[in-house]
Amino acid sequence: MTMPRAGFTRLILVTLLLFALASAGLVGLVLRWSQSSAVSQIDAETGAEISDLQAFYEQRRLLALKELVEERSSWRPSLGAVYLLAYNRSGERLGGDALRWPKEAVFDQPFEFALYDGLGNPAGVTVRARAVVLNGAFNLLIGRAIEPRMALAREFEKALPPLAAGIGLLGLAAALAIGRTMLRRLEAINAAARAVEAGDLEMRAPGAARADEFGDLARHMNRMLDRIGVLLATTRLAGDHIAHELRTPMTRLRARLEQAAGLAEGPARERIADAVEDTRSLSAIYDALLDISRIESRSGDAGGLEPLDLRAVIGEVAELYAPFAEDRGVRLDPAPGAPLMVRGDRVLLQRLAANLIDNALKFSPEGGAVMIRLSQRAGRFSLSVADEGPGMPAGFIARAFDRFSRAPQAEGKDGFGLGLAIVKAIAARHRFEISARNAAAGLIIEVTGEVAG
Amino acid sequence: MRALVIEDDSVTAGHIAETLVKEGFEVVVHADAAQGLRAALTDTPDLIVIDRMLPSLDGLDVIRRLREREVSTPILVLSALGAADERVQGLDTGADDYLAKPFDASELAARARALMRRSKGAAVPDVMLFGALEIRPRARTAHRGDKHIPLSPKEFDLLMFFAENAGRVVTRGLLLEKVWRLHFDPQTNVVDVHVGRLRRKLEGGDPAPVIVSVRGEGYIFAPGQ
Repeated sequence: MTMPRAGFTRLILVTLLLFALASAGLVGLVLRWSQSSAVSQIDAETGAEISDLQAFYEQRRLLALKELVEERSSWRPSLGAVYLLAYNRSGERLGGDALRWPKEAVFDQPFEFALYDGLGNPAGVTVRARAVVLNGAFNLLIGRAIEPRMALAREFEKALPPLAAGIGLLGLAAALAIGRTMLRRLEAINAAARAVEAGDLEMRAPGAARADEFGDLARHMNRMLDRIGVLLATTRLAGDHIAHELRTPMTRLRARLEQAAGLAEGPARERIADAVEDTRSLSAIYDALLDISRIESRSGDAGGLEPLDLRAVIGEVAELYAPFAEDRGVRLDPAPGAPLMVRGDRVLLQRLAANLIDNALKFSPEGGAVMIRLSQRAGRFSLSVADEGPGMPAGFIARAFDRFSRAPQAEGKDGFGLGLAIVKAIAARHRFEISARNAAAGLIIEVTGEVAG
Repeated sequence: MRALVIEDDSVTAGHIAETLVKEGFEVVVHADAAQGLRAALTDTPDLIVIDRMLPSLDGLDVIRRLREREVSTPILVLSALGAADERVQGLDTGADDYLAKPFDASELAARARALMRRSKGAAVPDVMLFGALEIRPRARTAHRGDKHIPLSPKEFDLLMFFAENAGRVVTRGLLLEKVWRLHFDPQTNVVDVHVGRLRRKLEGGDPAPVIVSVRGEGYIFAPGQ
């Protein structure tokens, strides 16, 4: 299992956040509902009782009501009930347990007020009450202390932190479980994609038989890979056919010219030899282009690469070029040293080295030096070939590795502008990186890549 | 010596035949793979030169069938399919050499000669004499008269290859492949420089040339002529 990455972590966090928001909303709603239900219960009770007492007053008048109020206030305090019967004008108490008519009181709708004790200090009790005027002379108030009715809500509030923690943990566990499952299937598809990227074109994503979105993804990827496989095969086949179709007439042309050269005399023979030389150039360009295509068609393909000593390969090629460099008065420094192993195709790496050295020598002035450097650091190697020639115009560097691109200073030099294009294709075949830059004196071309472990 | 050529293009087949006849072969040409295969089994030629993309069959299939029947005749593939992996494929199938089209007649001739030499198992002689030039292959030394010629290991390999092909045209491609083991043609003619140096060392100021350049083709090692 790979480490969870940013995308996965973000998914979990977002899921958790949404879950927490939804849970908090739900808890808030329940809390509000339990509070408001306590209040409406009080309102219903006081409303009913006040209607009762009003009716009682209509039948039995003041004294009987006063008695009833006293009676109820004496045996109902356990319910948090509060009663008060008072004169309308003065507010003087006639009966009940509240000491004086609260100034917050309004008639015919519920209101809340704070209860005071005998000394006029707040008793710390909030009462929700209703009041009515009886016969225009007396005020009757019936209330209930709010707090005891809030017990449920308070319980709920107390239970909230552990509840929230529990919900959070549950959410996290759920998100992790779902995320892990998704991640595992996604990772399997990614692993397949990486294998393909590394050159295993036969690799297919697992889980393509499953009827869900991941199955779809795997199926689409696999169909895409099948299609790429077919296209590649078709391209190679077409390339082979073109090769055959063009080479056959070219072979005939060369054969006829060689036969003609055998028959001709003097200047005619010279001309025919020139023509044979031209067919060689034609083949060379054509071969180089075909080689580039063939090498490119296997870009990044790890198949067919074997561990080999890059330093030895460079040494062999440098040896081939040494007399040529000497004749031109150029010092060729071949970077001797300990073996440096890479995974590569020997023939292609020889060619890469030859083209880089060839290019550097071609542009070196007499008395100059071509310095080859090969070093290794942190699992990667760097191969650089530096010359002391004119370098490249800044605008040309980006195109230096394109087919048929020749630097302005290459005018009059041999070559078709394909040498560095081949180098680039070979580098891509090996997943090496390649770059060119101007140095204080001349051009440096650098190839970097992985060392064989 | 008899050579069997299996090639469907008549002009190319004619050119191959002409080249081999000059090398002293009696040549039979077949354009069809099946007929060619039959001829290879019944006529017991000394050399087979075969194209790959034949009308009815891949030349490699012909080689495979021949090798299955333990026919050990040297086979040279001459094909338009000339990429490195195709050469390897050809050699793995049982071909003894592989030459890409379009080809130089002199290169075909040199390769045919090399194959004949190999199949005869010609032993390397102790001393090879070319006029005043004396080569000792085992000791890896060369002398001109009684004067030792100092040669680098590569220069000696080059000289040996020339000596084995004395009097015949040797192409650059063949030298790169056999002496330097490189399967591509460098852009610059570096081989020329190596040959030039060897030539100067061998000639040692003597005006008579030991190695002659043949324009557009290669070199001929012809000492003392």
